[in-house]
Amino acid sequence: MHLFLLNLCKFLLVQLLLWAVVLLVYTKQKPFDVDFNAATLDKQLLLRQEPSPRIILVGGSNLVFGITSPEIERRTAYHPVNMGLNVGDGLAFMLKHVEKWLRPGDIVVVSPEYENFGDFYDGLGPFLFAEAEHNPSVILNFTRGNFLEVTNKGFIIAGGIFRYTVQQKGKTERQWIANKSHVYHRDAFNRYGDLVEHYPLTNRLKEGYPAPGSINAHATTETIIRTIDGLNRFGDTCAQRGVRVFYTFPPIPTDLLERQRPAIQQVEAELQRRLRFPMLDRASEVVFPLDNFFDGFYHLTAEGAMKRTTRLLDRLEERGIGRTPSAAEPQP
Amino acid sequence: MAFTTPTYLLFLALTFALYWASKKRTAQNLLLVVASYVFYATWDSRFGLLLLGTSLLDYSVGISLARTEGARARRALLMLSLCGNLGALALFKYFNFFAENFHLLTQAIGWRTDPLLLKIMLPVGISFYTLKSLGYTIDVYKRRTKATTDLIAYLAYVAFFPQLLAGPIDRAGNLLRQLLEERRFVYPLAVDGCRQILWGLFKKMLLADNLAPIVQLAYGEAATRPGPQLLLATVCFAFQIYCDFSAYSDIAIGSAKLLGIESLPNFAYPYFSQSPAEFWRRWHISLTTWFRDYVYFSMGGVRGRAARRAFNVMSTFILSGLWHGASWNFLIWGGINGAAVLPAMLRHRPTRMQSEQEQRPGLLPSPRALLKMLLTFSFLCLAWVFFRAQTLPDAVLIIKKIFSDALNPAAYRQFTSILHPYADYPLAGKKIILFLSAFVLVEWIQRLRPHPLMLDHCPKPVRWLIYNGLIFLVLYFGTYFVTGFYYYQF
Repeated sequence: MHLFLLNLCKFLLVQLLLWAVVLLVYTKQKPFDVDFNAATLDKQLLLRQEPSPRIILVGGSNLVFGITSPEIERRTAYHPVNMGLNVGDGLAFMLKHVEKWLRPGDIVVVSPEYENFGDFYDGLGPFLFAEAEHNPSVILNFTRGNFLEVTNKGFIIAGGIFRYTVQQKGKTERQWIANKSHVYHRDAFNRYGDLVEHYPLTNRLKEGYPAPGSINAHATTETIIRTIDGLNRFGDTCAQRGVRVFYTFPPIPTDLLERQRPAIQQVEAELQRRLRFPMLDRASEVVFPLDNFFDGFYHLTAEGAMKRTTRLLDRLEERGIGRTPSAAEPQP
Repeated sequence: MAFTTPTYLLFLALTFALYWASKKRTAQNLLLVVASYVFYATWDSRFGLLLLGTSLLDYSVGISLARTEGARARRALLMLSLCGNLGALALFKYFNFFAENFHLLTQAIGWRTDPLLLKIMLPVGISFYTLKSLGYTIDVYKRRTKATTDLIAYLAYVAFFPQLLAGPIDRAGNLLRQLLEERRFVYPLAVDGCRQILWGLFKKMLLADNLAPIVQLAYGEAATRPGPQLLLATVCFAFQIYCDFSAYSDIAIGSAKLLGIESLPNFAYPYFSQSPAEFWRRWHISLTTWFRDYVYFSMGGVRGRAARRAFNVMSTFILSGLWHGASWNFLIWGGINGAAVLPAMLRHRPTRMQSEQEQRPGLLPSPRALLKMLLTFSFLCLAWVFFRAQTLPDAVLIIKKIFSDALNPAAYRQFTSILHPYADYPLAGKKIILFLSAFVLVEWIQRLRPHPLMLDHCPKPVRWLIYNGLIFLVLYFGTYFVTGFYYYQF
C-alpha cells in the first residue's frame, strides 16, 4: 500500500508540475482585466457601493443587452444596478450572488432565461469557473449545486484551459478586444452594467437564426418546480429584509414564441401556480420583432432594450414604483 | 455521478481510503453498500428502494432454497425470484412496448382498444443488476453456489457501484465469493486498475465522445444524407459503441481492482474476430455468457435435433436483443446476429475465446485472417444500423441508401464532409481517422494482453510519458463533446 501511495503521489506531483506550467502560460495569456467576464468585478462593486434605494436586475444576458438603465434612473427614484451577465451562471448562483448585498427598500427584478427552468439552474461548470477565475470571492456564493457542477465539469474546464493555452487564444482575444471586433469585453458596459457598445452597430438577428431545439433546456415539471422553489426561497429572504421582488419574462423574438409555445406555456403555467411573488408580465407580452434583436434571441438592440425597459417601468409604476420610493411591503 | 467526471474520481479516492482503512471484511462490505447506494442516489434516489427490494428478495429466496429440499417447493421459490425480478423488468422496461404492439395487433384485426401506456421512467441499471441478482438465485437453485447468509455481502454484491449501472454482469461465483473472503491490498492489481481506468477514459472521452456527433448528424438526417456518408457514420458508430461501452467496463473493472476485487472481463478486442460467433465470445462477454448459461443451456443448448438447436440459438439471441431495449430494432438486431452465428453453432464447434491463428503473437495478420476480420466487421456494421437507428423504417432506409448509392459516383461527392460535424470540431476530418487508425494499431499490438495499457515490459519513464501524454491528449481533444455512456439507457 505504501509503495502504491508513494508512486501515486509522485505521479500526481508530475501532473501538478505540468499543470503549473500550463496555468502559468494561461494566466499570462488570458486578458482577465479586460474580457467580458471581468465585468463581474464592476457589477459586484456597483452592487456594493450604489446607494439605496435601488432596482437590482438579476438574470443572464437578456438583461445585459435588454435594459436601458439610464431610463430607469430618469423615470424612477431608484438607482439601477444591472447584474445580468451569463445565462450559463445559472439562476441559483445569480440569486445567491446578490442576496447578501440587498438592503431594505431595494427592488429586485428577476428575469431568468428559460434555460434556467431546465438544465441551467445550477449553472454550467465552465461559466461558473469563468466567474470564479475573474473574481475568486464568488466561490463563497456558490451553492452545493454550483460546486457539484464545477467538479463534474472539471475535465471540460481543464481541457478548455489546456486548449486555450496551446492554441494561444489569449493573443487572438486581446487583438479582438483592441480592434473592437466584437462587443464582448469589459469596456462595452456603461456604469450601470448595461452593455451599450452594440448600440450603434447594425448587426441584426437574421431569419433562420440558430435556435435551440428546446428553449427551456429539457425542462420537466420537476425541474421547473425546483427553479420556482429557488425563486420562492429568494423571495422569502427578500421579504425578510424589506426588499420587494418581481418577476419578468426574458425577451424573445415573436417567431420563437410561436415555435416554442408549449415549452414556454408550461413554464408560465407553473410560475402562475407556484410563484409567491408578483409577475410583471406574461411571456407573450415580452416578445419583439426580429429586427429588435442584435446577435442572439435574448440580445436586444438599443431600440429593443428601450422598448422593453419602457414596458417594464410601466408595469412597475402600476405597482407604485416610480418617482417616489415605495415602502417595503410584506409579500405573501 | 458519471465515470468520466472528477467527481467520480474523488468519490473513488474517498471510498478507496476508507475501504483500506477498514481492516475487517464486514466493515469493508458495509462501506461498499453505503458507497454503492450513495452512488446510485446521485443518479436517482427514488429507485434505490427497488434495488434494495430486488436484493432482499433474492437474498431471502437464496436462504430459503438452501433450507428447502422438496423439488416443488424449490421450484416455487425460484418462480418467486423469477417473477419478482422479471416482473420489475417487464413493468419498467417492456410494458409500454408490449401494450403498444398489442394495441396495433388488435387494431389490425379490427378490434377497437385503447392503448394502456404507463408514464414511467426506466430505473438506471435495472437490466444489469436484475440479471446479476437473478443469476444468483438460479445458481443456488441449481446448487452451483451456496446461499449466503451474509446480508451485507449480498447487498454489496448486487449494488457494487463500479458494476451497478452498466455491468460487467458479474457472477456470485466470482464477485460474491470475493466479498465473502478477506481481501488484502495487491500492489500490481491496484496499479493495473489505475491504468485500466486511464485507458477507459481515453476511449470514452477522446474517441467515443468525438465520434458521437458524427453519428448523430448522419443518423439524425438519414433521409437527406447520401449512402456513403451513412456508411461512414455506421463505421464510426461501430467504433463509438465499442469505445463507449468497453470504456465503461474498463473503468468499472479498474475501480474494482483498486478495491482488491477482480471482475469478469467484458471485452476481448472484439473487432479482431474472424466470425460473428467469435465476435460474440469477445463482445459483452459477461452478458453473452449469462444468456448462454441461464437461457441457452436451460433451453437445451446444443442437445437435440438441428431444428431444436437452431430454435435455442435464435431465441437466445432475440431475447438478448430485447434485453438491450424494448423495440423492434433491438429484436431484429438480435435476430440478425443469431442467424449469423447459427451455422457455427449447428456445427457443434467448441467455443474458443480467440481463433488459434490470432492467439499467436506477430505484427501482421495473415491475408486470410485479415479478410475474415474485414468481412466480420462489415457484417457487424450492417447489424449495428438496427441498433443505432431510431426506428425500424430509419434502419431500413439507411441500409437501402448504403446499397443503392454504392455505385453512384455522385453520392461520393463530399463523402467525408460528415467528419466535420461542427465548425470548431477539434477532431475533424483526417485527425479522427488518424486517431482511430492509431487506436486499432495499438489494440492489435497489445491484443494478447487484457488491456492495451499493460506496459510492464516498458521502462518506467516511458510508461509515465505515455500515461501523461494520454491525459493531456484526452483533455485537449476529449473534453469538447461530452455524452453519457451509451449503455446507461439499457
